[in-house]
Amino acid sequence: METSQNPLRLLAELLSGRAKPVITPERLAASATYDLAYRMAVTSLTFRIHAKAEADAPVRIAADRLKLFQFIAQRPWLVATIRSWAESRKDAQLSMLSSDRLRRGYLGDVVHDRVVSFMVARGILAWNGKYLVAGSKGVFIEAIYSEATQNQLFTSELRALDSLRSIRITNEMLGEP
Amino acid sequence: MSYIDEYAKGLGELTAQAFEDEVCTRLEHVLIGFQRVPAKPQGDGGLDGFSHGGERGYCCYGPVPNSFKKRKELETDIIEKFSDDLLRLCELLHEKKKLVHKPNCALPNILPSGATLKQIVLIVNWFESHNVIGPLHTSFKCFKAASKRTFIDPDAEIRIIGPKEFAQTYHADELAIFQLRSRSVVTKVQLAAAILDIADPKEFENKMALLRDIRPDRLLTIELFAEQLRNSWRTNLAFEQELDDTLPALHQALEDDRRRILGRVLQRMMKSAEPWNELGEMAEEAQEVLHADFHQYGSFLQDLSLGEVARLIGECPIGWEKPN
Repeated sequence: METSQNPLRLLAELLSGRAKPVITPERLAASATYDLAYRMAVTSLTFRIHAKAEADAPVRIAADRLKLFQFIAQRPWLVATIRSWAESRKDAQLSMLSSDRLRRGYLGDVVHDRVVSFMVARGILAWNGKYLVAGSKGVFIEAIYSEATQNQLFTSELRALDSLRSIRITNEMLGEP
Repeated sequence: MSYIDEYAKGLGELTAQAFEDEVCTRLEHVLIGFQRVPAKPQGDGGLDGFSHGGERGYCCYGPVPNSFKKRKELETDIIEKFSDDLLRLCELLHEKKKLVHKPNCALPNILPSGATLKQIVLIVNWFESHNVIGPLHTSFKCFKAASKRTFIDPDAEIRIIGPKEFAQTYHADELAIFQLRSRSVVTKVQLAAAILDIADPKEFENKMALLRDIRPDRLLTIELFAEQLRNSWRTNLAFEQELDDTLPALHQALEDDRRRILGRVLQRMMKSAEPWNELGEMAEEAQEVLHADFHQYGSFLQDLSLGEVARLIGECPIGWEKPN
């Protein structure tokens, strides 16, 4: 990088001998993507809003659906993308074109897989075949939901999750038979 | 989706310089002797590249399809752009509805001495209409007839191809798709960065205000410098978002690299007797760290690494104050 392209050399020149450096490393926040507490909260909210009771089965959600929905909840700007994917699903070619980036994104979200494993180990969630159900400590999910709605926390995530109610996500879109 | 289809789709999404860059890069890989022609500063003479010793020429055009309200407008635009290239190759100019000779001063310095073009490949990012074929072939026939043909063979022909034909002809493979994806990410990031708002620029602006206070003699310089840093910071944030949305594994690599960069930067500044002298080297330091995971983005790494340091200034770790 040449001097003319590097404004940091210019900054160094401007400050040299005229200012004292101040270094505060503790103030740099890490991405929320890797914050376990945040990810558990979003996963819980997704489960609370989109898990359903069917026939005699307990309230449950397909693991793939949970993975996709929590991914979008953290990225509300993707609601429009999944809406167009859902609307174009009758056209195989168009559906492929409108969804490949989103599918690559959520399928590669390995952090979510680890969060689910942790929540299962803690008894918050439990596996039931390909579904996830509330575990013995599933009360955590309801507590998070109440806390979030009463104190207006996670508003953008909740709004995105609410928007997903009006979008028909088929099992085919989730890669299920 | 086949390699051909995936590559064609990605190529069709590129526009302007990014499209030309990708086409030329691919041609360089598959054609021995392909020669790229830089457009700046002297002009490309109407050719973006040539091969076969100057007998085959290549012209690229990547309009933004969504910027045209009607398909007809896009067709007309493509015809006009390629007609203009062909006119220049034939050394012609439209004047009062007539074709008159106009020397092309660039071509003698571009094509090998004595070479004449036998085929000109016109490569466009949108080729979903046959309406561009006839007018271009007809025009070229007229241009050839009116031309002194210094650089055009009497039997020269044109061929118009779109992304799919390009992918089929020039063997799109896994490597091509990987490179195209990287280029596509860069293009998307640049577009996103242009409209992205920095969520909380307060700290950064406070630091710039203090800098102006410290150096009132360099206000204009500080303004330009601050804008450059803001742009790089926006690029960095847009890149992070693109990875987070579509490539989570690489996002994790970026997060790890950011931690390493912060560590190295702080180490340098803290142990140096003249910390400001270290500042100038930080973008290179960041680039070195990012290179291991993001080398596929080429020169774009310069913007990213500068943006990373801008982020460190904007989000706090690096600051300054007046001496007591």
